[in-house]
Amino acid sequence: MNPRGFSLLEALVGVAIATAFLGAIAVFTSNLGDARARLARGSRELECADALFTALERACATVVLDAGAAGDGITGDATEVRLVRCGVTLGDAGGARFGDTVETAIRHDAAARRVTIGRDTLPAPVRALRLRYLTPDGWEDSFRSADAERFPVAIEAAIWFDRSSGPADDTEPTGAPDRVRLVRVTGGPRLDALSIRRLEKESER
Amino acid sequence: MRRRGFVMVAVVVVVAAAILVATGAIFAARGATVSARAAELERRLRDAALDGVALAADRLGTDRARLLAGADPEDDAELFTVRDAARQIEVRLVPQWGGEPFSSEAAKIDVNLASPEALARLADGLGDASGALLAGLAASRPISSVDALAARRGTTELLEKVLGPLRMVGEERERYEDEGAATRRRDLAPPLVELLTAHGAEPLVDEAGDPKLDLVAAVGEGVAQRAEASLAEFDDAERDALEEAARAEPDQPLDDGAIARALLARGIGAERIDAILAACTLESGGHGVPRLDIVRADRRVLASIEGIGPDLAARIVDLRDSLDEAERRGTAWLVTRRVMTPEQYAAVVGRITHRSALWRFRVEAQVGVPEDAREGVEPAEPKAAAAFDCIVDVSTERPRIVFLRDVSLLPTARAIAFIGASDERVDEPVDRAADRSDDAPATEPSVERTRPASGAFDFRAPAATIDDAPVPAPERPTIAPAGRDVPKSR
Repeated sequence: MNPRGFSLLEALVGVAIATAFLGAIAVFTSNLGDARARLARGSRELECADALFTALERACATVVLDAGAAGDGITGDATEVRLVRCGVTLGDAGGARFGDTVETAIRHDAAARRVTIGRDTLPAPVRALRLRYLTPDGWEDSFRSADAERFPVAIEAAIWFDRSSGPADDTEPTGAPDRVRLVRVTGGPRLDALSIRRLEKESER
Repeated sequence: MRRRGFVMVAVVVVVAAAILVATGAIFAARGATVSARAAELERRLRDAALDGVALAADRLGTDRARLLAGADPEDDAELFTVRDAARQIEVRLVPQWGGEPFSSEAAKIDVNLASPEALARLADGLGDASGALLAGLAASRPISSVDALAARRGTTELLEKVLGPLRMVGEERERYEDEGAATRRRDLAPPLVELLTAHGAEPLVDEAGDPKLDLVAAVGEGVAQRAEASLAEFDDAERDALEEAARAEPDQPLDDGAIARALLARGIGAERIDAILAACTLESGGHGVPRLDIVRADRRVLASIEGIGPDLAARIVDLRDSLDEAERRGTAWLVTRRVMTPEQYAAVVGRITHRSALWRFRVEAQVGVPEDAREGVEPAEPKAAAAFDCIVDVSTERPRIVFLRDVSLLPTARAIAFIGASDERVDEPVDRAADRSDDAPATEPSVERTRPASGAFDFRAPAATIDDAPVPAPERPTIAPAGRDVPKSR
């Protein structure tokens, strides 16, 4: 070893090793950040879809056809639906306690790119929400249960999440939805899986 | 030496900070896991309970012929168990007030169609808060369900009066049952959900589930209708009586009691009247005027019916347990057992029955511990339960869910009510002495008497005679089969 210090070659090798090491760390950190962001986004999307489907399932289980003064049991179009179900009210928001009529309103706010369930806003940005109503005659884009005097067979909810990093994309989504679920309505007309598939194919044509 | 000590302190601080960060991360992950598991469990419980509702409805549907003949449903409370490696979800029917898993809706007064006088008599029989609630009810009809009555004031006391032990869900209700509730409740006034219904229409089907003979059509209001309905199976005296009943004056009340009165006037016996009423009707449509199930109705409900009263109600209650199988298949025992005179019987027979096509039940899904689970291993889940109250109509070929209410949040609502109302008294057990209706002071109900509930049935167009030319069928009032799947008239 040279007692006066490192040679030029030794210094260059050291700098090269340090640069490579720092570069590797930078790439690793960046990948880690991306992975974390992806995971967080996926988690938010999962949470959002789960909350939406759970609210829809819960409402469809005990929904009523006609809630009298509270309006139709099911009132919905392609982007929002209001369901009145038979449950237990907790007395929040100034309502009655122990009442038997609970309202669930699901809607997509296109400007804010969010889905709201009642007063709650779900965390993931949503580009589009499509609601469809399956009846024995086929799919319908809107439904009023008291006018129809029957329940739909099921309600389908399809979500396209907004994953754009830049400005919001306002065009209609064309591909398959990111999450989709068909929720049967308790007491609705019984339709077997083959009939549903047939209606689906007719709709695709 | 000082330098070495500084390094050691620095290392300790760094290690402590690292431990804190790691512990926080572990708790955060654990919290997220518990939350996700609770949500997943809630969903599984709800799905299992809904499957239980469907299974119970199917079970009633399988029993349709027996039920329409006047029998009780099977009282097997166990529905099914869903099991995986760590836990099992038990789905079962909950005992109603009488201890059976199913309660007859026909044994209750239809709160929307009963006369204000009948509601007032029932209120007199109850006394206390239940009576006071009933006394003011006539003015605020129609109501969607008896359960909703508890929302009037939203207190736990009122909830107790309306639902009784069914205000409790899951473990709390099980503890109550285990503590001898069935024995204690013998002396108590039943909760309102056991006395009133919002789904009381009588299905116009016979014992086999086929539509009853429409007498107004049978006596000729158009050739086509006459062809579908025939009186050929009756003898001359019966046919004359039935034709007379079908052509009765419009101002007479339109329940099937008119048939009984016409038959009685021709000297036909109570048993034959009962058999004819089981097969014929003056009403149209799928459902008719509510009839009270005298075999299962509470004494207070029986006493509130016009034409029965407290004395006859007590005699009916005393006798009905001693009926044989044949007597239970009708109401003629009221005459043959000398409870009523034939005239008294003819006056009420159009508003009573011996059967129920609508049955109420509650399904609960709870997490249980598998029998062969390792000893000392406690399930990690909270003691959650999902519960649904349901009324099923078996008069249709496929059992129809008339009422379905998710009551899983009842304990939460009660807890909020208890915390929110600081001046409200503690939610005491049901078996308080003050609940004893016999001891309770009678209250003077202030009943609105402006709207006769049976007014909808008080008119009829004059029926044509057989010799007349066919005329358009008169508009006869029908009872909509009330329920969650039927639109309300607004």
